[in-house]
This record gives sequence, C-alpha cells and structure tokens, in this order.
Amino acid sequence: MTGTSVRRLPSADWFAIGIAVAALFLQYVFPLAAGVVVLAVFAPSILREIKVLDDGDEWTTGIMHRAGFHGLLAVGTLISLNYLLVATGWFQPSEMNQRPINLETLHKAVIWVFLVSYLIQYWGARHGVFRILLAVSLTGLAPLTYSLKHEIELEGYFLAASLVHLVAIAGLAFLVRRWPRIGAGVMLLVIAVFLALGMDSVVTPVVNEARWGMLNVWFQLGLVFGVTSIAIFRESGAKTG
Amino acid sequence: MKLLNHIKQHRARLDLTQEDLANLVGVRRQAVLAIEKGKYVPSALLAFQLARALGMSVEELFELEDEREEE
Repeated sequence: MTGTSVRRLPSADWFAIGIAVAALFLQYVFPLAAGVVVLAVFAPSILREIKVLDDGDEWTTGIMHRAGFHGLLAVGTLISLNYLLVATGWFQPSEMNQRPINLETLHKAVIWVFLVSYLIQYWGARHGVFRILLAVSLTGLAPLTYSLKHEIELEGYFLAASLVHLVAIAGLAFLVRRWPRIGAGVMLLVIAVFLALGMDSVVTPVVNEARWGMLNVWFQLGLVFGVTSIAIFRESGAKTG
Repeated sequence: MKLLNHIKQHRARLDLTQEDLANLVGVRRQAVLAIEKGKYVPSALLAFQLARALGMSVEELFELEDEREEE
C-alpha cells in the first residue's frame, strides 16, 4: 500500500461517468439524453457543493473548484473570441450559424474542460490523459447508434471516419503513456492543423450540415487535446523545473 | 517556494498505511498521497491534524524549501 500511486475516483463520480457515457451513446436515439450527459457530469459536484453528498475532503473540493475555474476560463475565452470574430468582420453569418460560437459550443466547452481537468487533477497528468484519450477514442463509435436506431446503412466515409477516430486517438493514448511530451506535442500539432483548416470554415458561411458537424467534432477534440497537452507539459515542467 | 513534508517517513516509522493515516484525519487516501508527493498543500487545519496523528508538531512535519537551503 505504501508508496502506491493508484488513485480511485469516488464511487459517485464513477456512477455519474457511467450515466454520462450511456447517455452520450443514446443521444442519437433519444435527443433528451444529451441533457442527461450535462447533468451527470455536474451532478456529483453540485451535490457536494450543497453538502448532500459527503464523500470528499478538502483536496477533492479543491480539485473540483479548480476544474470549475478552468471551465469558466474556457467559456470566457470563447465568448471573447466570439465578440472578436464578429466585431472585426471576419465572421459572416449564414443560415446554419448566426454566430461563430453558439450556445451549444459553449455548453460542450464547459463540460469537456471541467471533466478533463477534474480527472487529470485526480489521476495525475500521465495516467489521466491516457485514460481520457482511450475513452475519447471510443466516442467515435457513438454516432453508430444513430444508424442502429434508424436502421440505415452508413456511408463508407462515415464508417471510415469512425474507425480512424477510434484507432488514431487510441494510438495517441498509448503514445502519451510511453512518451508523454512527444504525445502532447503531436496533440498540439493536430490542433494547429485543424485550427488552420477549421478557421476557414468558421469565417466563411457554413451551409453544409455535415461540414458543420465535422467542425463540431474537431472543436471538441481540440478542447480535449489542448487541455490534456497543457497538463502533460505542466507536469513534466514541474518535475524538471 | 515549496512546502516540503516528512509524512512518508513518519508514517512508515509508525507502520501506518496511507489509508490508516487518511482515516485518522478524516480525508481520502488520495489526499494523503497528493500531500506526500507535494502536489497539494494542506490547509492549516489538516496540517495540524496530520501532525497530531503522527505525534509531532507541524514544524517538525513540514518545512519550507528555503529553510532547508539555509541549513
């Protein structure tokens, strides 16, 4: 027992994450499940804050508050970016999106940043990022539930995209576990490439729903990659510094 | 400036596991682990509780990094 570095999440968190993952897969079948994802992510923290759930200590409370602060920083940055893009005239509204950053985007930003920050602080950067990336790789399969519900055959492109998502991110997870800084560097490179490609779509009218959906996926991946790579560099910097 | 601690040594001296110490002061084992590794600086209240559980003073259990350099 002494010296072990295994950190178990409180059981309430595991329960909530289980519900969130199930709802994530079911949202394509039952749209209401999308709301359940948000509730499940925040429910343990809300219950702890109002003292209904008493399973933590000052350390757990501290990382919960810090994760909330990180979520707030992400949303604040996006809102500022929103104003900047509109005010400078870079963004041209279209039928699909009246603003470059809408409510749904902010909603996803705060969930991902809060959850990723909380888990990384709990598990430590290296183990945390490995587990988070593995979980994210599995989310590539989530849209497949849509095809099961509607009994439609998915286009080859869509299946290939799901498979690439699964394999590439799982590969990245193992890369981070073996060589954390190289893995984090690759993630930052991916963000830079997607930002260069995605910015073009943001500042020009987006009328294609599939393109808008793809941008949405890139945005969420960018958030996860950004937060996790920062955590890896911060931890390795603290060890060397 | 970092806060160093000797919890691990004194815990081992008393043959206490992280879980035992955590139970004595009413926190999760993960909190003791984070404090031992210097990843979390405990509140004054928890620092006093840890010191009491290990039978020593806070000053003996914790020290500032620059104090060690001066010695």
